[in-house]
Amino acid sequence: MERIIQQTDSDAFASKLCAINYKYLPPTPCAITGTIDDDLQSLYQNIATLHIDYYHNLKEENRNVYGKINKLMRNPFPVMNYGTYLRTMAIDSSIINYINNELPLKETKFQIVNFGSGSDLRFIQYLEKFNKRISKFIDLDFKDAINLKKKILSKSNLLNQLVTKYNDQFIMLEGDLKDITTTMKQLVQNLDLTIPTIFITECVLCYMTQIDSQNLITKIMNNFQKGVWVSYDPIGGSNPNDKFGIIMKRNLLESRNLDMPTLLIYNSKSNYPDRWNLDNNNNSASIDIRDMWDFVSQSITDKEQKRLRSLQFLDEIEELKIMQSHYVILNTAWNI
Amino acid sequence: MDVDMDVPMYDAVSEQLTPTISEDNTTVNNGSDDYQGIDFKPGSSGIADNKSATPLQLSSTNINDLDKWIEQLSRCEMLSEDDVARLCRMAVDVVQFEENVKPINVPVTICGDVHGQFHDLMELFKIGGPCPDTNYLFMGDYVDRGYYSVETVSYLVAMKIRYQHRITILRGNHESRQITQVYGFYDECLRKYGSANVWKMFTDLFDYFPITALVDNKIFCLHGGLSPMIETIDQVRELNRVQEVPHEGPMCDLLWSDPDDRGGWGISPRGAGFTFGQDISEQFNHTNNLTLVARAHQLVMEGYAWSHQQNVVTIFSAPNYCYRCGNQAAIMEVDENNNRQFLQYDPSVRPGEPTVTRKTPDYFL
Repeated sequence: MERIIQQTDSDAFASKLCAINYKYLPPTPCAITGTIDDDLQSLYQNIATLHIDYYHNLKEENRNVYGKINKLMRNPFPVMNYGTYLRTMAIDSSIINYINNELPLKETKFQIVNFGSGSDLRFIQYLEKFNKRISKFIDLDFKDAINLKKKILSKSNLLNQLVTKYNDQFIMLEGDLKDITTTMKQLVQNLDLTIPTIFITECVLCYMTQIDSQNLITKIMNNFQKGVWVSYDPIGGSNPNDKFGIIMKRNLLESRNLDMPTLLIYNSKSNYPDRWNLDNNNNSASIDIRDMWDFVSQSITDKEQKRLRSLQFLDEIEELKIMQSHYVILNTAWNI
Repeated sequence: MDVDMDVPMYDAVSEQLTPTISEDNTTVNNGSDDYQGIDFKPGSSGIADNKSATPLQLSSTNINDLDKWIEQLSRCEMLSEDDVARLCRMAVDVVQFEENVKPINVPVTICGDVHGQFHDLMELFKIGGPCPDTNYLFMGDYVDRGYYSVETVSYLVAMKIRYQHRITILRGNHESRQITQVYGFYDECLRKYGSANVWKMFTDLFDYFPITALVDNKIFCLHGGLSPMIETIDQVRELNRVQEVPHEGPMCDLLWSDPDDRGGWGISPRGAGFTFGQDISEQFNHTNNLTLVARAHQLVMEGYAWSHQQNVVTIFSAPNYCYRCGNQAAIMEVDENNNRQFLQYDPSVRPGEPTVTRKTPDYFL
């Protein structure tokens, strides 16, 4: 099961690379409504270079994974590229919004934890942008995933230079989120429980059992004084006529033995936040959840949407809507 | 009409066929190496080089071949490249003689998008009754997205030639060179035949497909919808349809437009065609003495959907579209007395299909 879940990192990385290759990412100026457009522009300024460099070094390090990603990239349906763009933008705009709104003072330091980080290169993007404001950035994933990432990062001149530059801030941890005790021990050893901390789970909780994911969340929220949880996941759909989640669960089980234990439990925007809303959590938490169709219609400017549609002939608007309304972005901020 | 059409759908694809990340540097390279040496020009397959001046009359040899091909295809086994070439040559000599507005008698069963979901097409014929006992009108989009575009379109074309007066196949917006390079048919042909030849033959054939049909002078059938440049059905008859689907103009609109809740003409979010309101459909039906516009093109969860107070119906015949959308499919039977009935169906069970061919539908993981 661990290996099967880990393989989804190749899917995610291939999707991102593909969205970069087809110019969905980075967003163009004035892509997003509100006040964070400039911040996103600077966050994404080197995204193409970073990802392509990682990809080339992956080729030498692991032909298998490289081949898999290469193959996945040959199937670039517009709905997938569009969705990858939305997923990436939704996560980063959540994080930036939290930093800008909750931590407005430039001297306020914060920490970021990227659970199940896989090949994600956000650590560079954020460290480059926020530099010394980030006291620690942790990538935590299974041992094999971390080992591969370490090798690739050290092999690339560009990436290695960046990792060295942020040596005191960036930490890669081998772990298993199911093992809450060890995970907490690792976090406590490396982080300061009293300063604001941003936790990211991008398609991570969906692979955990209900009890494991709740335990993880409860422990974190009870131990870290102030923070935000930014989570992106699929939801199965709660309408009795909505078969998207049932079909998704079956498709993934049949074709790759990949299970999503809570897809049909936390199946809607109204119950997905239940994981964070447990009685034993403090009740000062605020919850904001939107599906990706809300996100595109509320947050992406018309100009940017027009640009995105023109990149590849985005023809299937109805299909896009069905898919994107089954993925959510959640922000839960708390302050004990 | 003053509508902003600044989404450059044509240019987008021609500039960016297969962007590839270059092997040895860190720039994104939009090179299209895979395509070098391939002639994308319409007509390059040669299937229409020796068109007949009269409609194809089936010889007993033709019938034997067609029956053999249909039998083979009905097992979801694709034809050889040589057979596809013969099939397409014959098909040109059938469809080139059909009118832009093909007159069709009742009874007929009207179907929407199929999109390469071959097993669901077989299910459709089970639900609607076998052809040629039942007359069929398909409103386009046979290829792309599903895993069996080659088998699906080969089957429908073979049936069309074999039973010329029993089945009509219109052109959809996916029956085009540009769109099939983005949405899968081109890649499927390369994968299954090792070259683009079969893709060139079929896309050359698509240029000859009729674009609309008129059922009993009452139901106007087409893939997409209405066009601000078309007020009467006679204006459709005047179009020169034998060409790649243009990126604007009346022929493009007929294959791309969508009905909308807002009145009048609007910009389509698809970047081609228009949206049209109930006022437009009512006027069009009134002007042309029609009872209904039947069209496909849009995924609807129940397989069919009325709009514009029953002036327009959308029919979609690919159940569980792309193997993940969870929608029902439908077809619309119109009987001798012009009574209409919708038949809905779910995806076919695909027993015995080897799991190796079952790719995972795309998800964000």
